[in-house]
Amino acid sequence: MSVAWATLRRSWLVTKRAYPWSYFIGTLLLGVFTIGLAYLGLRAVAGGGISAEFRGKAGTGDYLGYIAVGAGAYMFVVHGILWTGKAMIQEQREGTMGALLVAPARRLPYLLGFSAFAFTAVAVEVAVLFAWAASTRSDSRMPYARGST
Amino acid sequence: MGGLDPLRQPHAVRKRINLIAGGERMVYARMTGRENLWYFGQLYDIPTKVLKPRIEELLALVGLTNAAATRVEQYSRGMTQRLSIARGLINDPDYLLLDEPTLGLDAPIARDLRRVVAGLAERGKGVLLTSHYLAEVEQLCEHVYVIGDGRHLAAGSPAELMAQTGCHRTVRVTVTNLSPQIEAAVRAFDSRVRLAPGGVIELNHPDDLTGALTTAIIEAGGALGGLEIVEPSLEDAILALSDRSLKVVA
Repeated sequence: MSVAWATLRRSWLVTKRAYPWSYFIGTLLLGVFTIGLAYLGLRAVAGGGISAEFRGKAGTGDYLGYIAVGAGAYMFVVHGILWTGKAMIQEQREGTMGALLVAPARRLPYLLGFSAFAFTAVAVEVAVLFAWAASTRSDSRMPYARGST
Repeated sequence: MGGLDPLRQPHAVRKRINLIAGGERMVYARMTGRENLWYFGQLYDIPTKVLKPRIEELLALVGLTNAAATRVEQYSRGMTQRLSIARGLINDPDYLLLDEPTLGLDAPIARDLRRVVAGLAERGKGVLLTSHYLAEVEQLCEHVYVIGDGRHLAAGSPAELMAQTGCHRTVRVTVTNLSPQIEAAVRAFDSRVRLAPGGVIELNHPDDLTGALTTAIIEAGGALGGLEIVEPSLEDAILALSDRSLKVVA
């Protein structure tokens, strides 16, 4: 697994140096905006009320918590899978693809290393996102349920 | 390759080969020189005990010891290329593929690289060099394959290719008092003698006839104003092959 570990370390070093803080902030903002937009919709459009229909179908009255789970899953998909898929494109752009192709390292450990980095990074971001969502959770809990409109 | 079948044993073959390409590629710009070599060492599954001293050895070989902790993006073009060479040697390959390795390099760096490559060949490494720099090919290669328009045109040592294409040493003698008598004497000397403007007598011949030609001129009453001996080059041979190929196509 030395290839996976080395690729994880390499990805971490390169990302940290290329985007010292903007990478993490930028990806986190995706979730923040998703939840923020839902929050705005809840307040500005729905008037802060949760319909009984939503409560019935979602099984919860915690609207922002519901959105946060979706935003977290979305971030995992976008940054975990998409970034892993992009690994080869990055190698091609950097000009290192040829060096990788002639090396005896197998593809799976390489991709696992890249995935490990992508999923670790996104796990931290989702944790931060959930913490932020939890801090605003009390605001989204409505003391009453509005009927279906 | 070395007793291995590249199609059936690609993993084993890859452990024994490496590639160096020209043009600042094949290393990670945001990693330092040492980090790059460490990463590629991991890809070749080189044990740490072997890898650490080898990294230092290669950095010294390409003259990057002092820049080992500097990010590659801060390297000059030549430094990046030298690191690429070190990367190509990280697994101590038995066979090294070089694709225009001196492309865009300063003359001293290109010379150093050629020394490294020549040293590898002397140590028994198999080196396959692809290059448009024919002087480099002539200097480094024992056996040359000439490819033109995707077709294999010729093969052999540089000397063999030159002989095959009729490229021989040219003796150029300048005669200050060229007369019809001298002209007749040199024409009688060899049918390949050519008279050029300015009293220049040229002879392109597979044998070294410099002494005999100058003696014949002097005996005919000629005064020598200059003597130039032009050795044939691989470039001459390639041009001759190219001309032949064009004629065949035409």
